[in-house]
Amino acid sequence: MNVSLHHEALLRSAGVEMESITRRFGTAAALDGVSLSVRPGEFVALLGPSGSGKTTLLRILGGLDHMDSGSVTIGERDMAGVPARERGIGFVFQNYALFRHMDVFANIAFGLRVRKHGRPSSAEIAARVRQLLALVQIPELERRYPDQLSGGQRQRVALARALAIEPSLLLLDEPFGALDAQVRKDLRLWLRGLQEEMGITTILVTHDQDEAMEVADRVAVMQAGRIAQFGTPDVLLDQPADAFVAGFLGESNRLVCEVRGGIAHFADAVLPSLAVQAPDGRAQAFIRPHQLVARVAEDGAFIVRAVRPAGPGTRLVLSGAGMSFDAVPAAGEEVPRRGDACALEAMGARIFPILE
Amino acid sequence: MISSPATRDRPLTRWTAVILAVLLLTVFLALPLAAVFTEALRRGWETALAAYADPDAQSAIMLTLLVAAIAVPVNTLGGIAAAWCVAKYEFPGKRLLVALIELPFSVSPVISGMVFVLVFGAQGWLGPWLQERGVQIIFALPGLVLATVFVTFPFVARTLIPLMQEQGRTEEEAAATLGASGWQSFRLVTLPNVKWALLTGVLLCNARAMGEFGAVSVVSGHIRGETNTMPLYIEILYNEYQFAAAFAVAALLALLALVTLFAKTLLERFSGRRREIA
Repeated sequence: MNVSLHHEALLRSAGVEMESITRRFGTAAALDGVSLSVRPGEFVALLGPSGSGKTTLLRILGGLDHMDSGSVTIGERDMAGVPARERGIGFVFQNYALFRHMDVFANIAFGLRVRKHGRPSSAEIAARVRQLLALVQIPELERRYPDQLSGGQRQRVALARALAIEPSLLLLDEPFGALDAQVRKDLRLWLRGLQEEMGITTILVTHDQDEAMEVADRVAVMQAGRIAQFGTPDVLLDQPADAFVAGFLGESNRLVCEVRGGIAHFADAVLPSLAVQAPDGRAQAFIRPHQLVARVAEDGAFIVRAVRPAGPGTRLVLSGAGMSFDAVPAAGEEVPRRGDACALEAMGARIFPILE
Repeated sequence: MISSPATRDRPLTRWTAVILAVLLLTVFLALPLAAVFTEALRRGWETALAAYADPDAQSAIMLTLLVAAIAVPVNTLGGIAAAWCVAKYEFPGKRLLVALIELPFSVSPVISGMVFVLVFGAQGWLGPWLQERGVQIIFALPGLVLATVFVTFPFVARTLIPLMQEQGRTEEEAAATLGASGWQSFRLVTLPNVKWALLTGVLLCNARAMGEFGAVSVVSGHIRGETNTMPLYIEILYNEYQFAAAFAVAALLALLALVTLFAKTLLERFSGRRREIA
């Protein structure tokens, strides 16, 4: 790959400091005091359900939206009052926003051609565009128009166009949202490799946790305009900060329980009680499917609704007590079949006290 | 074209629709147009050419072209500005602005003309003030231009607004993140994206500017050789039973419209209409 691109990016890659950013739409707070610190060269994902404020935050970083209070520092520069066109940030839009009347070449060259100071010569621009086309692996599409490209190809053009201005920061808004599953997976791995190689600070917005977990060094989980937790993927999964993060990331069965003396008693005794480390009181229990074991039992209260192979094992969906459960068969025992009655037992759970 | 079975109509339905459309087009469009040209040439080329040689006719032709040459650029700029505001920004009073843009279409042109007389005429609100300063608007070129601008304002704005609204703002935002100034973004992104719609709007505006009768009639005063535009001149000739001359000038006016239409079709063909996403 390209050595010069690599070094350029490493040199100019910027860290990002966000300080208590607040943004209101009418009376509703889209962002409610968000602070986040991104290191130079880091790949960070903003993950959250729709309406959690992640796109608003990205647009504020890009200078496309304003904040009501707070501050943004990129590199060493305070971004207050700096318009989007002077920020030098690469932005890849959700639907790519390619210029529809320009071919691929002109799209990528745009950022260089509109430069007021130090505009490269057209030979330099052409060389740079070819370099970028090679980087995103679509040199043959130079003369195509956006409506002649597939989703994945448009994505690559959008990325090349954003990189053409040698940004110190790359912002990606749901970049894989409009692609089908296989293309998505390929592209995000490729993007991660490219980012690593170029060393450019990257912030990606997504609602897809697999995507966030797979590509990002650290993930900021957002909820209702706040950062619920910011950490590496394994920390988020193993030590969720609160019930929202625990419920949002990974699959889990969610049950209400009462903790007394280190024993969790489930409401209506749905499941056998379980030893936990948590203070006394009402609590929310999150049980991952692999922690919930199903055994065939004549008098079992749960009926198997679906059985599907999952990797080396088997996953079960059971219903009972007015709820649905994801579970696994007990190790070394008969695998329940659809319609079988089963007993369920939790082998572990994550407990969050319910604050009254 | 291949029609899918689900939407294929019975032959009877299809042919009835086609015949009806052709019949309507013939009776209401082709026949009158043909009539204009046959009437103009009924007494031969010489009579028609003589009608154009008349100084009053030449003055009317020049005045019509002059009014269009002022009104069309003004409305092109104004229309683009209005469409830009409405399509790309949210602001209080936007609905009102959209309604105002359509006002000239919903008001009878005669009333539009009378409004200008009321405001700028000798007995109007600003009339005496203007008279003292020797500025003549009504019964003069400024009045004709004002009335024409007013009546033809909606054409450009109306053709641009739906397209610009559909295209949204993200391409302009992308241009901004890439370092483009507002003007660069407008010139390189916004304008090329709407150029065909803009051309259509401008041509429609031009056709109406040259053909406008009602509003212009009120503010013109019908001074031969001075404030008569082609449509007004045609009416005068007609009322004076100079049918050959009337139809000769009418044919020229119709021809101007046909030429603009033809030019538009040619332009579209040669610049690859395929790129249009309308």
